[in-house]
Amino acid sequence: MNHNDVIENIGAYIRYLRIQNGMTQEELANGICSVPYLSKVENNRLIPSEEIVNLLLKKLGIQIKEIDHFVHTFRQKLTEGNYAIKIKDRKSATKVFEEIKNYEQQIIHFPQVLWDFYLFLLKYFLFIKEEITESKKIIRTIENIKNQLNTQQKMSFYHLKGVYCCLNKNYEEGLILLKKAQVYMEQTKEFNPELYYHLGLTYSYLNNIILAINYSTIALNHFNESANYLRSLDCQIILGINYLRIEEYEKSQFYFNNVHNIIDTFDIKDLKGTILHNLGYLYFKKKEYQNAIEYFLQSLNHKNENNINYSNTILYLVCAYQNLKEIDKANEWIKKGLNYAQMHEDKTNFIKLKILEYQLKNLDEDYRVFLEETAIPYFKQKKDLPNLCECLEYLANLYFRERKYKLASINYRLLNNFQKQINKRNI
Amino acid sequence: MKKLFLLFVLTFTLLSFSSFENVMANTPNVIPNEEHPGY
Repeated sequence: MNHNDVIENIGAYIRYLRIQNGMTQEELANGICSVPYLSKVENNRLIPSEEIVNLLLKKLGIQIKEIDHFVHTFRQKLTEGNYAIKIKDRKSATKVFEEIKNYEQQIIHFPQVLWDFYLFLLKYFLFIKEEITESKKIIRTIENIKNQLNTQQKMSFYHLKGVYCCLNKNYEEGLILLKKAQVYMEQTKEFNPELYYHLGLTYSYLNNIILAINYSTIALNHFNESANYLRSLDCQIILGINYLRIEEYEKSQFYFNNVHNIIDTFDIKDLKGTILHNLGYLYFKKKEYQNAIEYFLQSLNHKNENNINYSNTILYLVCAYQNLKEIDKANEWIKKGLNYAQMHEDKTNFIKLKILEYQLKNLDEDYRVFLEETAIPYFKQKKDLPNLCECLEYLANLYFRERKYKLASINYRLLNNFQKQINKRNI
Repeated sequence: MKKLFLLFVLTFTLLSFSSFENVMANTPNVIPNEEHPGY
């Protein structure tokens, strides 16, 4: 916002200062302009001449230069804060937040600055504080004024709202919003690698392999060019995951090893557990179970027990032991995993571990009841198609083994239909 | 009477199948096996 912008938006600020000074419109206008003229200025229905602005402000005890300086400094702070969030510098971002959080009442009179301030707050609560409730409140506030946003601000808003949905695991709605942000990005003609990263990540969560690779590759090139090495690592993990899904093991291993080496060199603790799990999963898919177990165990060592993915690693560790026929170890980890999943109310992994337990113990009747009464209804309610398909297949196989072909075929049919739905989405 | 009963059973079975499948339309398809980086 330059000097002219300040003049154009000064009306509401004059009104704010007049009320702060306890003056009436008559008192302020006296000797400078007419009351109706001042009223129009205050309502931003008329842009006053600079001379009148100077006279009004003089009477209010402030100079236009001071306002210019305030707006300029505030904007600088916002830029500083946005940059700190971008490079994940929590300390600096929080410092800026603390410095500017109380200025809302003053900048409320400069709409464009205020919208940027709201967008900064949203970014801060999403990426630094990770506070979903507070983010939702800010989204609602911006939602009311979204028609007044400029193209750049609209892009940011839909981008951040998309991320908000994805953080709530609502990836499909998140994707729609991120795509909307992409349309605005194209209008601004300014490339936003962060948006491309989020599109790649969301496509990856939705198992759309082609677009996950496409967006992550473009984002990776930009992050490498701008030396944003943390985001570069994130992109490489997405690429590793998606090449693994199409069984391009060498490419997948290339990216995972690359991230692993860099993490070790720069001692980045946050990603260590994640990359070790993915390396374990890579060897698991390659049926090299001994290597897989080593990586899974290392991953668990590096993960905090509060990590949401802790029981996921245990689950695959159990599967690896099961494949190596090390039944005692598998049972030992099932026990630990069940305790952990129960403690953290992670019902999905609790059910999956329970299924492994039934499979290991060959308790067919209890297993069938568990699948029919607990596992399938739960995954159906959670709309978790991949896990639902897995359970339907187990159930159908059980019926088939018992020569109950009719019941088996009903479940195979359901499985087939859901599988088609999954495949349709993956195209 | 028997035919009517059979017709009822058939309709019920078909209805329950179609409603089960409808519930699953437009559902997310999240694969949790791998670990993704954060947003």
